[in-house]
Amino acid sequence: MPLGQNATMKILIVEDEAKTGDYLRLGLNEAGFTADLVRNGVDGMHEGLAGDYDLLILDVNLPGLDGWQVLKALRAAGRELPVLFLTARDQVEDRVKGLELGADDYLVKPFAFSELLARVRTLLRRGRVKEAERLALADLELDVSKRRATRAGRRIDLTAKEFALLELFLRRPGEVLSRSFIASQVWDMNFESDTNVVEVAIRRLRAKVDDDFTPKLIHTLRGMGYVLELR
Amino acid sequence: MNWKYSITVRLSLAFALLATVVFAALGIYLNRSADDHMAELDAHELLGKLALARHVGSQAQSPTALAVRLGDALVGEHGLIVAVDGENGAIFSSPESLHAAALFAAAKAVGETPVRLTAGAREFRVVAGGLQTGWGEMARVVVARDIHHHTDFLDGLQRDFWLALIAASLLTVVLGVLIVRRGMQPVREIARAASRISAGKLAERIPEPGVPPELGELVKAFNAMLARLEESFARLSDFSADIAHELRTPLHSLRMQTEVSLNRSRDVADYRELLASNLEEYERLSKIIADMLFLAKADHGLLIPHRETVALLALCERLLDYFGLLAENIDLQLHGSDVQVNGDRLMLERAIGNLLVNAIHHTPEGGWITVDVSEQDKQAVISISNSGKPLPQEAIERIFERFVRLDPASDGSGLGLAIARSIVVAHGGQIAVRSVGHATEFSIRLPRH
Repeated sequence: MPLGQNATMKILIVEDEAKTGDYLRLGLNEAGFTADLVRNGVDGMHEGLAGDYDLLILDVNLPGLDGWQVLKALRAAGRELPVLFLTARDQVEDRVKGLELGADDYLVKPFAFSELLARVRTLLRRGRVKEAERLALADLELDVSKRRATRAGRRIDLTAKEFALLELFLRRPGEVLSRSFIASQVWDMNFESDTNVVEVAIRRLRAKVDDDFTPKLIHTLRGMGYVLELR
Repeated sequence: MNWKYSITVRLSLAFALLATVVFAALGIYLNRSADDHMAELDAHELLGKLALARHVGSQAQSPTALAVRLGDALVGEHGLIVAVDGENGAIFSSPESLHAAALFAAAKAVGETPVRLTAGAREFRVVAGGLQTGWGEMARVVVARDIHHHTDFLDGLQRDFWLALIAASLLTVVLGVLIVRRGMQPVREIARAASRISAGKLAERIPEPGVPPELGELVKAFNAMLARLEESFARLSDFSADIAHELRTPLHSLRMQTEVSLNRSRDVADYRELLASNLEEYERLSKIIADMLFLAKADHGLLIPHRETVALLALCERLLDYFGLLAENIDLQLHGSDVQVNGDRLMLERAIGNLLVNAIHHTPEGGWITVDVSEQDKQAVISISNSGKPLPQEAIERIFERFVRLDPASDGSGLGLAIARSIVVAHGGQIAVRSVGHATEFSIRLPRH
C-alpha cells in the first residue's frame, strides 16, 4: 500500500546477492519508495555519486569495491545522504567501523524486512518532521504533551508503556512494526528472547483501544508484526 | 634428525670431553709424582755416595789410597759417576768416565742440592761438595747419576698413557651413546604412546606409573592437554550434533507444510497462511543460528564486552517492566541498592533477561519472583529467586549447558541459560543456581571494576 509521502523518496540498494536484492527492491517499491538496485561496489559508487538519492542501502560484502570503500568514496565526495549498511557478521568491530566511516545505521543479516522498513523511514524522517504534539487516526486521538488518549471522545486510561506503544503506532500509521522494533522502541530491549511479551502488550492495548470500538485499528500481520491503520 | 640438537650426540660428546679432561689431569699428576719419586730416590743415593766419598777421603792418607779405597767402595755401581778433584788435578774418577771432566766443568756451582745437568749429550742428576782428605788437602767431589733410564721410562709411560687416553675417550663415546640411548628409552616410549593417540582415540592417556620422575611433569602436562582436547572435541561434536538436530526440526516442518501446500492449488488465503507460517519458522531458525554463533564466539573467547558503567538496579527495573507483562499472576518484586558495574549493557541485559524469563516460565500461577541487587565482597550480586518445585540435583549440574531443557514442553531454544553463563563468564563473573526448599535461586556475581 503505497504512501503518498514516500513517493518522491529515492533509495539506492547496493546488494550483490540476487534474490535479496530483487526482493529488497520489490519490497521498497511496494512500500511506496522509488528503489534502484545495483549489484556491485563500482556501480554503487557511480550511482551514489551521480544519482539523486535520498538514502543508500549498502551491503558490506561486495565484489570489486566493498561497502566500506563505497561509503568512504561517497563521504569523501561530500555526499551526505543517509547510509544504512547491511552486514552478515555480528561483529562489534564491523559496527564501529561502519559508524566511524559515516554510516547512519546498520542491520545484521538475516533481518526482518519490516525492521528494515522501519529503519529506512526513521532515517528519511530524521530532522525533517517536527514531532507532532497531537496525533490521531479515525476517532482515536492522542495528546502527547498532556499524556491523554481518547477514542470516540471517551478517555482511555493507559500506563506509561501503553501510551508509548500507542504513540509509536500513531506516529507510524500504516507501517508494519515488527516485534523486535516495538521492543526496542518502547522498552529499549535490544535482544530477542523466545517470549511473546510484545504480543501480551498489544493484547492489553487492544483491550483498551479497540475491543469496545469499531472499526478495529490495530491489526496483526502474522509472522511480521502489527500495523495501525483504518481498513 | 637434526644432529646439532640431538641429546644423544651432545651428551656423548660431553662424556668424552669430561673423560679426556679427567684422564689427562690424572696422567699429568701421575707423571709428575713418578718424576718426583725418582728424583727423591736419586737424591738419596747421591747424598749417600757423597757422604761415602767424604768418609773414605777423610780416612785416606794419600791420593792413591783414596782412589783405591773409593774405587773398592763403588764396585758394581752402574750409571753412577764419582769424581774427586784435588788442588793439583783429578784424584779419582769412577768409572773411568769420559764425562768426568765435562761434569766437573758443568758442576762448578752445584752444591748439595741435586741438580739436573747435561754433559756430553747425557743427562745427569748431580751433587757436589768439599772433601777434607786425610792428608790435609781440601778436595772437591762430584757425584752424578746418569738418569737416561729414568727419562726413557717416563717417556715410554707418557706415550702409553696418551694412547690409553685416546682409547678410553673413544670407549667413553661409544658407551656414552649406548647409555644415553638407554636413558632416552622412556622418551621414545612416551612418543610412541603419543603417536597412538588420534582424533578417534582421545580417551587414551600416556601411562603415568613407571615414568621416570624427570619426565613425570611432561607426561602429566601432556595428559592434561589431552583431557582438555578431549573435552573440547566432545563439546564440538555435541555442538554439531545439537545444531543438526535443532535445525532439522524447523526445516522438517517447513518442508512438510510447503510440500503439502504445493500439492494442489489453493486459494490465496491459504498461501498467505503458509508463507506466514514459514516466516515464523525462518525466524526461529535465524534466532537459533544467531544464538549458536554467540555461544561459539564465547567458546572461542571472542565475546568481548563493550564496557561502560551500568547501573544494575535500573537495568533490572526495565527488565522487570518488560518481562513482567508475561507474569500476570506472579508476585514480582525488586529489592536492593543501586550497584554499578563496568560491563556491556546489552549483554548484561540479555543475561539477566534470560534468567528472568526462565524464572517466569518455572513459576506456578500465584507464585512469586524476587530480584535482589546487592554488593558483597566488592562484587555486584544479582539474585533471582522464584517459587516452584525444587530442581533435581542432576538438573542443577547441567542447567547451564546448551540445549538442556528442564521442561521438554517449553518452546524455548534451550540456549538462554547457556548464553547467560557465557556473558557472565566473559565479564569475569560467576553464575550459580541452587534450590532452597520450594524456591530456586539463580545468582550472578560480577566484579565491580
